[in-house]
Amino acid sequence: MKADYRKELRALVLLNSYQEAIQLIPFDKKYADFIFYGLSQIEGIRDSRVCIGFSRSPSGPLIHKKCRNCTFFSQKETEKQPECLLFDENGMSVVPIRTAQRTFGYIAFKLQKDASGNIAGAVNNFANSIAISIENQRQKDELAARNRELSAFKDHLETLVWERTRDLEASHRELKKTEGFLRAMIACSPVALYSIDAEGLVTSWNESAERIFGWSADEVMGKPLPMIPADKVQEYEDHIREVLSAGDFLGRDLYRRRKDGSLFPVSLSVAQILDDRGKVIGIMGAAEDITERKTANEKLLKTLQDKETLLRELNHRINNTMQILTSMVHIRARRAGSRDVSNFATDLNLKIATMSLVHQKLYNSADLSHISLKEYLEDLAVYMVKQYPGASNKISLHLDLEEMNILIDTAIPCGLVMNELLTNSLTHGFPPGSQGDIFISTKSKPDGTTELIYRDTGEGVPEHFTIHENGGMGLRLVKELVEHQMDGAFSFEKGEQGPVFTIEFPDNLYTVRI
Amino acid sequence: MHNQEPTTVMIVEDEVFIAMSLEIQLKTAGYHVCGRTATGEDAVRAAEELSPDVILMDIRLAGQIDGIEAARKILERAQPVLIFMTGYQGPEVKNAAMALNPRGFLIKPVTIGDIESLLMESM
Repeated sequence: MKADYRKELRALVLLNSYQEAIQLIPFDKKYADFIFYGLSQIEGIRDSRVCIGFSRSPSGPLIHKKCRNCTFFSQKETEKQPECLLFDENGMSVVPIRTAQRTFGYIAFKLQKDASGNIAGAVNNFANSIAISIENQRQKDELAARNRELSAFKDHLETLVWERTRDLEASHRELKKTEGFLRAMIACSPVALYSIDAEGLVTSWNESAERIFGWSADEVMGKPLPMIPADKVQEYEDHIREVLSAGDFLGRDLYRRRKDGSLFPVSLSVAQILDDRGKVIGIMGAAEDITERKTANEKLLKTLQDKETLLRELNHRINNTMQILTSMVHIRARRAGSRDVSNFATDLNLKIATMSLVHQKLYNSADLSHISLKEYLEDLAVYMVKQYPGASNKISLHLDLEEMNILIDTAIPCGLVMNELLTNSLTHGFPPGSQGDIFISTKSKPDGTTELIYRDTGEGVPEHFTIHENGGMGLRLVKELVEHQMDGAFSFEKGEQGPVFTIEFPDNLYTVRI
Repeated sequence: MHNQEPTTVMIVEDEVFIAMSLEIQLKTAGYHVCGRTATGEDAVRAAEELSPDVILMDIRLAGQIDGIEAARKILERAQPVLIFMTGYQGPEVKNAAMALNPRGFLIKPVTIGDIESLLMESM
């Protein structure tokens, strides 16, 4: 709460003594920022001199001390300018009021007695004037302080504005840089890039869009997308709804229209365009012309289908040819009418069947290079036994075959070896009326080779039997196949329960061809 | 059945050697080969005329219709035992053939043993 200076001043001036004045003047540092008092009795002030002290300092009492000891009233300088004097704010020096006026801006008054010699009215007027002056000064001070504050605020604002401007300029430069980067990226994109606003009107359309669709940017900007085929409008609207609700999608194969009306396939990806609050304000589309890719894929598919057809026909031809060969052999053998020729024909046809079975397995294999040795030997053994009348009833097959895939180049000689061994057992091992077993097992060995063990419980071999001296053509052929074509090892032992043939062979003699 | 009246077999095969060989082997085995045709159309006509007990049907045939189509037409009027024999191994061909519920689907080369095994199941 501010003191009312004018009231206090007036009341002060009307008092007679300094002692009373200082009792009334609130020297509260918070409010009192000046002192005014009269000397002695106002009526008795010699030569109408009044000493006025102002203090801009809250420490007012300094002034009155100086004033009490004031000696300037009798000095000439003072008498020449008898109006009043000002103490500076420290109360240490006296300045003529005119100088003070210049310095502090206060108005100086000359107190004069009225006609009756009374100075009270003049003092009152003076006090009022001083009060007004002080108030004016206070207002000026406040204004100056306000101005200083404003100036500081202005400076602060200017600093803020400068900083903001600096930041904005930096952002602007960055934005320009990003914009330039994006513009270059969009310009050099081989994919048609375009965008539409919330109304579905085109807001951007790059060079590739012009090249791919045929419309220039000037033709499409601000208009609906022109390349939606008439019968795809519903699909397009569904896509828009999907993007707005579910978000972006990538690489969807669709058909679009060129300016010349032709339809062509595109791979379309779209993304929402969001504003700074995350609201969707448009959609960006990227359309890649996939005509060439689609054509190439169709050609590739056609080639693949042709290959599959060729493979199927080839397989059919092989199987059919094998059947023709066996039929020819059979007819020819029948014409010969000889048992030896008939046996030869049967043997030959079983070899043909053995190799046919490899092709059948190969056709059904996953990679057209490998077949399952387990399946092949199983089928071959069952097939061979079935080809000898009555063999199924007297011979039991015991197969212990490990699951493994081998190359066809290994499978064919392996099958022929098995064919020979089975033929040997089925032809010579079990005389009419006898029964027995055939055991076939395979397993992988740590060195990567495969071990095949074949034995039967038939009649066995003579005591001094050797493959080289006593073995027939079939067993010698087996040895040759294993050692020379399969690069394997062949061994034979008579065994307690019948002959045992052991074959070890690698499957790395040939490389995969497909 | 062999002791009473031989089973009649019709061979539908466009490869002469195969057809001949099968015919010889079947006769040797005691069957009566009542006919041999090389096309699907002839097979349909012959089946109606000869009413065989068994039809050995190749699938890839001369003529406009294949063995599966010919068998379908035959089965519309009769119920012979049907055995397909073909060089085709693909699942499409086999599935189409098996839809007609044949006694067997044999991959060539086929032996008389294969055929007899199937026939013994039913005769």
